[in-house]
Formats: sequence, structure tokens, C-alpha cells
Amino acid sequence: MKKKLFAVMCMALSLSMLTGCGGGTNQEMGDEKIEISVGYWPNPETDAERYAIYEGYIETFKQKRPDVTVIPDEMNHSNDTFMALAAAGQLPNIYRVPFTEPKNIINAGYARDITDIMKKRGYDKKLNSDLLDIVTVDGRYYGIPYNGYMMGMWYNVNLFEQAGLVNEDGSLKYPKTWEEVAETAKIITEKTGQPGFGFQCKDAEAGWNFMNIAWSYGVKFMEMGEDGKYTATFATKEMADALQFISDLKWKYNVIPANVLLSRGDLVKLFATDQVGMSICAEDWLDSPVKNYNMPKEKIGTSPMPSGPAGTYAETGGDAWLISAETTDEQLEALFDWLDVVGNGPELSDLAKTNIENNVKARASDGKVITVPAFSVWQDEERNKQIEEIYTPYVNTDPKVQVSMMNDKVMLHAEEPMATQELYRVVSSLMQEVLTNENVDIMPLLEEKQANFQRDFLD
Amino acid sequence: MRAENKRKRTIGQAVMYWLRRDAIGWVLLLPSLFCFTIFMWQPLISGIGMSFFDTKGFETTEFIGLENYVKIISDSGFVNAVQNTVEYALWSIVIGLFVPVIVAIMLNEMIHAKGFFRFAVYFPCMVPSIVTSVMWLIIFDPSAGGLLNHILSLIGLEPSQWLQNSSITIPLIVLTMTWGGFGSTTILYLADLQGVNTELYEAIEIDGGGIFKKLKYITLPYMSGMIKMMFIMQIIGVFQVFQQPLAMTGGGPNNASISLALVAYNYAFSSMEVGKSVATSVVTGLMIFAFTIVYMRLKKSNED
Repeated sequence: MKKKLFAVMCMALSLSMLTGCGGGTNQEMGDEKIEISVGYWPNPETDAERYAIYEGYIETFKQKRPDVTVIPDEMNHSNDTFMALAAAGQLPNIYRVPFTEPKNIINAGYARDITDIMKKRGYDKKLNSDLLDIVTVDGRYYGIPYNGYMMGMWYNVNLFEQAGLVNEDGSLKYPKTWEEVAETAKIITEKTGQPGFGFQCKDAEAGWNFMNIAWSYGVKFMEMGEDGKYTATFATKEMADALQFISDLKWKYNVIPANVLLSRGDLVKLFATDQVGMSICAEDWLDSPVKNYNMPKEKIGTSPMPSGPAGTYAETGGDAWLISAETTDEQLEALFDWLDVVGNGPELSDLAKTNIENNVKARASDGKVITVPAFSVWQDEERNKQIEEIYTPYVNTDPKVQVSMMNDKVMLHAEEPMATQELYRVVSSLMQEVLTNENVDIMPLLEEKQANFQRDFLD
Repeated sequence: MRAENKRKRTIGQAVMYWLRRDAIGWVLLLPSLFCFTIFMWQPLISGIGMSFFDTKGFETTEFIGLENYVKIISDSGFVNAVQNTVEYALWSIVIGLFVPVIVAIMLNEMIHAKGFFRFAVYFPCMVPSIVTSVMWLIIFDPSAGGLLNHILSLIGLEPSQWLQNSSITIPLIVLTMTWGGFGSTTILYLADLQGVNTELYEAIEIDGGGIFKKLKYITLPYMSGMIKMMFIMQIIGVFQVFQQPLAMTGGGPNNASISLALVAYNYAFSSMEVGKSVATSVVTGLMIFAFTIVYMRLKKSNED
């Protein structure tokens, strides 16, 4: 009897596993209501203020589209999870990706062609054309760049104070050229015992950071021929000089952390805990040391990117909304209405302005760093001016210490056009070799890497 | 015709009899069978199939034969990744194969606090491997304040670059893998040692033999079967090394610790080229397969 009972229980367990896999979809069919799932939704516990604002968005959106139900989805882009979510059809209808990703995602078939609605609603005319290129494949649009940032430098004010690098008016004696970066780093290391400068060197992001230095040394990473084919062109004296610069920081001046294989998280931790004097950063990094390490925001200084022999270059980055491939036409219209309501559309309605202001207000009261965005995805001056007016009352940084990353000298530079992630990985491995091998002969190494990059990714 | 029907019935009846006879066994097997089919065999087989196709995301688009294989093998980083993977395996033999054997023998000989030492040996296996990696990262910190460098400075030696020194990156990663994994193998050896007839030891003692003779003539020959099995298991496991280099070095410095599995991961999750990713995994699988066959042949010829 016991045996039979056990067998029945096993059978039941097996059946329950089988049926468990059947699962329903989150879209109930047969209902007239349109459902849209929206990714990158704030978490109610870790980001309560913004969550409340997003809940408010739903209420205001209902006024415009009572026939649409918004389904919040906290999905945020991560290379580790994206493919699995996409393959399982679990992507929200609209999801955020950083500018480095759209090409691969579009080529993998996980984003929907939205060219017609982009043109109909005027996005194609008002968005920055360089940024539109990021979401364009074969002349068709697949995404909406909505949040742009530029890169610059950030400074640990505590270490600058200890090193005597603060002017009488409280402003920082920040470096204007890469040579001055080395000099400033030497002073910080000498006076405080902490590394004066730090940079990422563990993964592809290291290459992404290094672009700013390389461009300012005059490096051209690739050129397009008449046949549309790209040729890698970075095995040059300029690139060797740029790499020599970081090599000197390590081997000649010894002003960077002993552990060079740093990820972004490692670097932010060192910076926030007074263990690195300065580094390259992106405009949207400022919240991280404040939120994760309780670093007072007035202890973070910023400035434009230093200049090199070929000028001052700052890389632009940002985020785009992509639309999942399964999204229907009806859902697409609803999603674009949603973008209008939350202030990501080309025109700013009163409702959108109120929503943007509420968002900024919530972030400010949550202790986040508020600055007027130095770089916009929109090329519409009027719209950018309206955004500046909304932000200005909530700016909570000290202009003496937190100098805008943008000035007249800075030339904005978009990411390289082909095999971007792969190029970053190559540059990152170059940096690693230079920083872990004091006697490396840079030029032959560059020639080898260039030939391999050409063969593996451009030919 | 009738005879054929009769035969069919007979086979059908035989199968039914067979199923009925082992009904409980089949029912018990069903959940595992189900899990293996869905989570192991189906992905394995469809992955092999996918490697012969051009892919768009996880969808196959066009049959391209061996093109993915040609592409991955002609990639400039492939040979380096194969060399590294073989190096991981060799170092795991040098560092990892005999540590559990020695520890198991020591544990077996222990008289006091046996339980505690068994727990202590097994404890690292209970620590998630990502935690193990982070802990060793702290130990290998190349700054003067790093744990090992601090110890070196106390005895008057220069600090080392540890993982950043590309010539020792792989052995150091293997060391961390050994630390995290030797406990479970030790327990297996320990279980194996319980089967040794203690009278044999007594016989050696009577003949005036000491601990080394016992080891040479009894313990090690007795354990040799298990050691050989663990050798092959270790090669198979280490050939798939992935998490430790990903967490500790990201495959660096300058690809010095990148493994085939990490290359496959980069293809799938960074470049989104699933076809090339599964092709890399199939090549890794074939290498393990080839190695296993060679090993089996050698073993057989030795036995003959």
C-alpha cells in the first residue's frame, strides 16, 4: 500500500512539473484593452521616491489613453541576462539599453522596426542625427535615444584638499591637459599616499574610457573606404603615445592603484572611499558614490576632459529605448503616447513638463546629484532650453567644485562606428599589457592587435 | 500475417510486462528523466545542430555547414584560448590532482578531532565559488597592503603582482579552484580508503615496514582506480573553466587567462553570435571527447 501511495505521489510530482511549464502569458487575450509592458521601472524598495513618481505617470497616462494598461517591468539591461530574456520572449515591450548595445540587438532580431512611427511623430527630425545612427540599421530606425551624457573627469575633493590643490575661493586646481593630470596625480600621491589617478582596466569598459585619451592624442581608430568597408588604422605613433602616457602613470610615476585590473565598480569604490584622487567618469556616474558609499556629493569635483596634443575630446554615451520584436502596431502607438507623457517625446506638453519636474524633484529629495544635463539627445534648442529651466531650481551642486563637463574647447565624439564592443575589448587588452608589462614594445603589439582586429571583425 | 501480429503482440506484451515489473522505478525516474531531457539533452542536441547554422539571436536562419567552425578557428584569439585551456588542465593536474589524495590519507590516519577536520576540509565546497573568487582576489591584491604581499614584506621580500603577472595568472586561478573544490574529492577518496583491509597494514607492520611502505604497497595501489577516474573527471571539469577567470581577471591581463568557455560566453552574451558560441562549445566538447578516448585506450593497453 505504501509503495502504491509513493508511486502515486511521484506521478503527481512529475505531472505537476509538466503542467508547471505550461504557464500562461501575461497578456490575456480576448480583452479589448491594450497592454504595454514598460522596462527599467524603479524598484519600490530601493528607489521608492522615483517609484512613486512612476505610479503617478500611470495615473496621468490613463487620462490620455484610458484604453491602455501599463505593466511595470524592472528589467534593466545586463549582458549576462539579456539574451536569455530575449530568447524566452520575456522582454518588456519597451526596454532600455546603453548606446553600445543596439546594433547587436537589432542584428539579433530582438528589436522592432519603428521607422514609420518615428517619422510620423517627428522623432527623426528632432533627435541628434549622430545618435539616430546608433539605432539605425540599413536605413531603418529601431530605437529612440532618450538620455545622453558626455564624459569628463571627477575629483575626490578630500584628497585634493589634503594635497593642497584647492584655490582660495574653494575651487579645485584641476588639470587642463593630460600632462597636468600626471603632474596633479604625482602631487596627490606624494602628499596623501593615495594613488592620484585611476582608471578601469578589467573589461571592455576600459577601452570605452580610454577612447577619450586616444582621440585627444589624435588616434583615428578606423576609416571607411569608398566601397563602405572599414580599415583599422590605430597602429600609429599617436596611439603608442597615448598608451605610453598610461604606462608612465604606472611605471614612471607610480600614481595609479597597484591593482590595475579594476572594473567600474572597483574604481567607484576606491574613488568614493578616498583611495583614488581622480579618474575619467561619465556624467551619470555621480549618484553612485553618494548612494552606495555615502560620499557627500560636495566632495565630488568635476571638470571637462583634459586636452591632449590633438585637442579635447569627450565621448558621448547614453541610453535608448528599444521596442521588443513581438510588439503589435496598437501597442506601438500606445508606447509612443507613453513616451510623450513621461517627457521622452519630441514635444514637451504641459503634462510631460510636470512629469519631468516631479521626477527631478523626487531625485533631489532622495539626495541624488542634480545637474543641468550638459549634453542632450535632442537637437531642438527650444526643447533643450525648456529642460534647462525645469532642472535649474533643483541643481544641488556647487559650481566652484562641480565645473560643467562641457565648455567651448570640448569636442563631442560619438562611439566608433564598427565592431564597437570588440574594439573596446582589443583596446582594453592593450591597456592591460602596457600596465602589467613594463618592458613591452608598444608598436609591434599595436600592429599585431590592429591586424587581428581587421581580420576578425572588419574583413 | 497472423504470425507477425502474434509477434508484435508478444513484443508489446513483453514491453508492458517489463514496464509493469519496474513501474515504481520508472515513476521514480520520471522527474529526473524529465529534467535531463528538458535542461540537458535537448539544449545539447539543439546546440550542436545550431552550430551549423547562421543565427539571428537564438533563431537559426540559414544552413552554413562548417562556416561557424572555420570562423572561430581562424579567429586570432582561438589558438591562445586553446593553449590557455590546456594550461588550466595541466596545472590542475600538477596542483589539484594529488592534494585531495594526500589530505584523504592524512584524514584517514587521524585519531583525534577527525570530525572537525573532515568538516574543515569540506567547508570550502560549501562556499559559493563566486565568494571564493572574491576572497582570493583580496588575498592576491597586488598593492603593498594585499594579504600575501604584506606577508612577503614581513619576511623581507618584494611584493608580487600576483594575478597581474601573466606568467602565473593561470596557476594562481587553478590554486583557487583547487582550494574551492578539493574537499568533495577528498571525501570520495576517504570513502574509498575505508574499504582497505586493515589486516594488510598489520602484515606490513609485522614485516617491519613503515608508513611509506604501507602507502606504496597498499594504500596507493588500492586508490589507483579512483585516482584515474578523478584524473579524467578533473580534465573534463577544468576544460570548461569559466566562472573563476570571468570573476577574477575577466580573461586578462591581455587575454592571458581567457578560456574556451569564456570565449564562447563572449560570443553569445557580448557579441550575440550564438552560432559561433555553440560552435566553440562543440569544439571544446570534441577536445574533451578525444582526450577521453585516448585516455581510455592508454588505460586499456596498460591493463593488457
